[in-house]
Amino acid sequence: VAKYLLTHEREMISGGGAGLSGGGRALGAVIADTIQDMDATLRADAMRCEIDALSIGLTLERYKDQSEAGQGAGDASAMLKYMGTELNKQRHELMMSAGGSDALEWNGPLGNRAGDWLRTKANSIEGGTSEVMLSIVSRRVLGLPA
Amino acid sequence: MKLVRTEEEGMLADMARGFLDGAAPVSKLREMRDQGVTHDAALWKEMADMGWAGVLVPEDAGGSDMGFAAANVIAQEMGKTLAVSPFISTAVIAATALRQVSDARARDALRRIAAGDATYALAVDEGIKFDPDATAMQARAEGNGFRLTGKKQFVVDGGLADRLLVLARTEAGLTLFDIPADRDGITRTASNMIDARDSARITFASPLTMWRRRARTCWAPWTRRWTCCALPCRRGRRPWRKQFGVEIGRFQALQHRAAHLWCETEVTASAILNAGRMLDHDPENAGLAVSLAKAKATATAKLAVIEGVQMHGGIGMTDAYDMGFYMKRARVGAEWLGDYAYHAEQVAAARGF
Repeated sequence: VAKYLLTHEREMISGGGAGLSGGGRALGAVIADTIQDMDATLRADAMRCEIDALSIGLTLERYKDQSEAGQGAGDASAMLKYMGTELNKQRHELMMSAGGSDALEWNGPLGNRAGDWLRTKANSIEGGTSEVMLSIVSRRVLGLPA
Repeated sequence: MKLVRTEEEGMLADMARGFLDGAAPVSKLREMRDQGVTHDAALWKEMADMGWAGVLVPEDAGGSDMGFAAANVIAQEMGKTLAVSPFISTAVIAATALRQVSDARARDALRRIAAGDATYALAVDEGIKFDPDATAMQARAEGNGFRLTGKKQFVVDGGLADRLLVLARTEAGLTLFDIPADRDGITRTASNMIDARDSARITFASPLTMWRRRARTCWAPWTRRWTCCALPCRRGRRPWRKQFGVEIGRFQALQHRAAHLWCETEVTASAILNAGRMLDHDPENAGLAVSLAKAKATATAKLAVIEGVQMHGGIGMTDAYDMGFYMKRARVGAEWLGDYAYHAEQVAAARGF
């Protein structure tokens, strides 16, 4: 039961399904709203982030479809948790970068952006750290020795 | 549109795996490379007999018409052993292009593709990067036909293909020409490719061609339509080798890198499956899905081969070991039909930035 609950917690943390069609706006588009000339590095980071975000969204959708077809995620839920939380941290790093010094104030021009950013650092700790997730994949999925 | 492999797709993958392990293992590529051979006509004929050449050809033209998701399944299995065939050039790209033309010649061409009797190569690139919109090659109208003048490079399968699909500019815009590859005025120079596959630089000195198709209207959807097949993702190898008396698979530093790579392959598999589904169900709106798949697959394949060599250590660097073949194929696949940057731009444009 504990294992099931943990698996469930992981799935909750890694977020709901939001594929290509169901997802919200791209982070890069949100940033582009406020920054007219995104510098090349920020734009490249935003593109990479978008590709990863869409692919991970589709993976959540795929695992949801799989479980509806009777195949549970099982140990692969560790992958969903790991990829989802690491992506979320990246997205918030990007938002901080895009916000510049405006993002550095508590309740400043960008509201609680810094608070949100700091909160995401717990994502890859709570519900099993990223390192624990990688160990689960390594042992249970890849079958590497303990 | 479910993102789950159907029973038929699972069976197709199993069947393909069984066939390819016997007929086209990596050792086959090595043998061809050592002999300087880049095409195996007998192998392609066998693939055609199994319905692979006609995977996108309508049944009434002799095809198996299994669709893009099925083509992806076949391409992924081929990627696992680096099987050498003109599958993507002929069965995916040419069949997709010809299918949009409704006349007797196109139907006949499709029939020949499905039977394994005709192979095609797509000639688009004129510079070092894929950029169809920058095509400078001119096609001048003359009588009932056109004369093409210019050069193409990185024409994959172009050294030995029976026919060429050539992108050129006419007064009407970008146009795709279907020409026999041995026509007077066409000079093909085989490139000595790092992945030991067929690719050519081709010079067109006014060969006369009759058959043309406007590409402007159909270019956008189907430049993207084939790309999802271009790069099957590869699984990381499991490190069982011993180092300092310990199996290296016991080192957590390596376990975590292998695990991360597996996670990336799972995520990539979703993007590829989605692209196949979109092409089969909503091809006009599949651009984002396909560019996403090509970009993600390019990035993951790069990670896989770099990690693959590094984790194998010194033996990974040697030609005696197969890993180098994967690295070279992944590099060529990364450039073919649009690299990561090209498709990332497509994704960014489709997503509003």
